[in-house]
Amino acid sequence: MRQFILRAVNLALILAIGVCYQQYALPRAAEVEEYNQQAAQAEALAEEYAAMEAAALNQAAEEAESGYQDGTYTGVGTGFGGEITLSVTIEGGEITEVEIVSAPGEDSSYLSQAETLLDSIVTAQSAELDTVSGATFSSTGILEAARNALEEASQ
Amino acid sequence: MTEQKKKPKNPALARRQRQGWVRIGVQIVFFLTAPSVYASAFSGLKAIFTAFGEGEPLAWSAFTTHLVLLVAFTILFGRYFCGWACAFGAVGDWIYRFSQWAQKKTKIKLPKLPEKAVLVLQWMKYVTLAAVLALCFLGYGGAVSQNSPWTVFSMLISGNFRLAAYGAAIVFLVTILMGMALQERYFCQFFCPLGAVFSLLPVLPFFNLKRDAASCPARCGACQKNCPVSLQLDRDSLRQGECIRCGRCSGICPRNNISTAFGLLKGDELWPDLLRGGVLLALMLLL
Repeated sequence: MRQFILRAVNLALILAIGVCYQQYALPRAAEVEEYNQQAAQAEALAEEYAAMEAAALNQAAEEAESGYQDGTYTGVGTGFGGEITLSVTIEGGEITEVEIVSAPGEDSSYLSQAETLLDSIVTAQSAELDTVSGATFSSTGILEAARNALEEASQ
Repeated sequence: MTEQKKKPKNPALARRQRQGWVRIGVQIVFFLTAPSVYASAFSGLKAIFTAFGEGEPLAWSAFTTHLVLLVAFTILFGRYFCGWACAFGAVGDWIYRFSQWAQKKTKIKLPKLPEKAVLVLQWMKYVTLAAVLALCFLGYGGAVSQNSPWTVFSMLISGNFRLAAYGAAIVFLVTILMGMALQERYFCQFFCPLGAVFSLLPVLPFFNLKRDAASCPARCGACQKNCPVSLQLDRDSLRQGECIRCGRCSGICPRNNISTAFGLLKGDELWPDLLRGGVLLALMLLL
């Protein structure tokens, strides 16, 4: 009985620490996010300004095109237990959707962790991203597959 | 003719053997359907400590689901997962069983660890747990996975043989597999960091195995001798967390002094074990 109470108190303490930590970490993460957004906005403004300047100089600044041809492309990468096949959709020169076509060798909980990369690729418009920690294999496979698909899209 | 040669069947022995085989059957089912749950649940814990170290907020993931599921299940039913559902524990059991059988056949006896060493080594898993979590906190979580025997094990069972970069992890795994042949539940008792977490949990008393020591014969100790983790059941000590709910003690007791569920069950019946297994499997597959 004494053991049970001690253990229960310890578990409650650990949970309490987790909750307190979350109270501190969530607003902090929100601040970092806001800062990053502002930095990105500033960068975008600076780029726009540079483009206007270039246009003013009559250099007919060619837009920094992504160089991707519109269409849907598939790419294959090696994940944990086999191949991962992705389909990447390009519309208007931009990556608009990344989807898993098949990943027969992946474990579902690991794959669902790595799946956050699909949205990240769309946001970043690139497959040069860090792997998701804890799901390194599946992440590497997804990124490799996306890179292969994008390579095809840029030909 | 052969009928006469057979020894008269001992019903208690038959019952114990049947329970042993049923446990292997349940382990095989879990091995085939959910072989990576132990690693995924532990990844959940590693992710929490990695987030602590980076100052990032804790985020819910599929790993966290497994961790919370197993912790909750263990608080309710004890370490049933360890004894019946963990793929790594199951492989350990099978290797040990095979080694026992081979030792009998070949009449070559492997040395046994003295009980004192077992009791000391059981503390090592807390060291493993602390070390792994500290490394995650300091930002070396990747290095842990790179050198983890579990990584190689799960690669092997999913048919991934590109193991060139995992030298140290392979050495660890081979050492552990050899240990499993020597000592029952070698890894689980001595090194498993997830087992360390489970053995520190407050397990609710409903399904604890209890011993009525007052009516035990003097110097019997059959339950402890047959226990895979050499547990003395009635001590209110930290070591009670070692119990993996195999139920063998209940079957071996000559006086039926061991019971569970407040005396309603003996502790080695098949239906409560199968029921728990079914619930756990359903939860794992649904979540």
